[in-house]
Amino acid sequence: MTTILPQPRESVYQLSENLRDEALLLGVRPAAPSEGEREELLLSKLGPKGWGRLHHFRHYYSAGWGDGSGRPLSPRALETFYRFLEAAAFPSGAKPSVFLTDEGGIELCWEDSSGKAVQVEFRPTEVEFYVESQRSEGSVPRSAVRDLARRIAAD
Amino acid sequence: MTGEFPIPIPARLPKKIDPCPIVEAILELRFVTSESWRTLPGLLFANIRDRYPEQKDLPLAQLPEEIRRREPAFAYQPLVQFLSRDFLIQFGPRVVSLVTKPSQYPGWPALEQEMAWLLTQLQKIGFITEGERLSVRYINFFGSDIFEKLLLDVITGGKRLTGAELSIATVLRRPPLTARLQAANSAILGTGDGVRHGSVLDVDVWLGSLDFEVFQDGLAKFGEAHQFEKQIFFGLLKPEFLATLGPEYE
Repeated sequence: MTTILPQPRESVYQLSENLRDEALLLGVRPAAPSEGEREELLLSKLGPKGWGRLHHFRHYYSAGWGDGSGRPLSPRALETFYRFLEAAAFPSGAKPSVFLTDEGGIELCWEDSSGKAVQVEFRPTEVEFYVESQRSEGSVPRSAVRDLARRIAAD
Repeated sequence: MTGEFPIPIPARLPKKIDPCPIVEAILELRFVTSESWRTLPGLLFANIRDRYPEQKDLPLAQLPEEIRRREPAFAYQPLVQFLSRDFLIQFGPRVVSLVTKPSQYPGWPALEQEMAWLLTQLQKIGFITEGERLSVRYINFFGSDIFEKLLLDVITGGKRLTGAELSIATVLRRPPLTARLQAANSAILGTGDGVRHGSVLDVDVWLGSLDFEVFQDGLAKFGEAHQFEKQIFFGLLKPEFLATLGPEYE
């Protein structure tokens, strides 16, 4: 951001000059609450590549991406995805791949310690999963996402 | 933040104080949609023009869409305003908000009623796929140094910091609600015909995407957020200061 861009919206008040934060004009913005922890979480669990892909999905994929029918990232799917990541434990060295689905959900894929595929898709209201080693697939409501993460990690 | 909520919540809350310090109240809904922004202002205006006959582009609307989309700070900014006699509606590709006219707060029942009407229109148009954030923000202005009147101190070296230009911001949580509180004793308020210098107490309360269903419990959730905002505001005022504002209770 540069100072030649217009201010997003004129506020009903301004702080006096001495209290004004010049960093805002220089393009540094305060983080939203929990944003720092979430960035750390993404980096630690998915690595820089996963972090970067999610950043792109959040900010640059609007309605109509891809062939024209892609939906924007669902905030609920994203929130559920974060809750899964908090409880998830991936095999050492594994960096799961992350995708944006046509419906605006998030798909996470990795290989377990025996090299078998695990896929989890986060949708606005539910979470679908496939665990090759167990030949199991199904879905759980988003409220059960932490339990699902622990169950997959325990296998 | 963990543990007990740090602001003492009064047993009862006034329904009115005089003079009313509220300079602006904003009920905001962030959302995702599969519709193109190009069509949205027209769709909304067609449904609200009887009440909101005047339309005004905001400065950000001058920027090309591609630049706006690439700057995260602009993601939730409105591009268009619709004005009625008592309120304005601000609208952007991912946000819609109902805002009171400066220093003309009509009271919660009127604001809630207008929001109910707006939600009905939004549901009828049907472009909102999903709610992302629901918030209630009240900006209060006082002509004097507000820190002398708040149950809130900034302490340095064991002594209360007084007389200095001061601005603090903090985030308070009472799940599922989150509040950002900003207090400053050196602020400038634009009044239309000039400026006033004084203090602001700015409280923004919100719910995240998993904690509300826009068209099912959205209005009730705005009410809950408003109640929390009110508890924080009145919880911060020293009782002797509140008494000078002639509080009226139910």
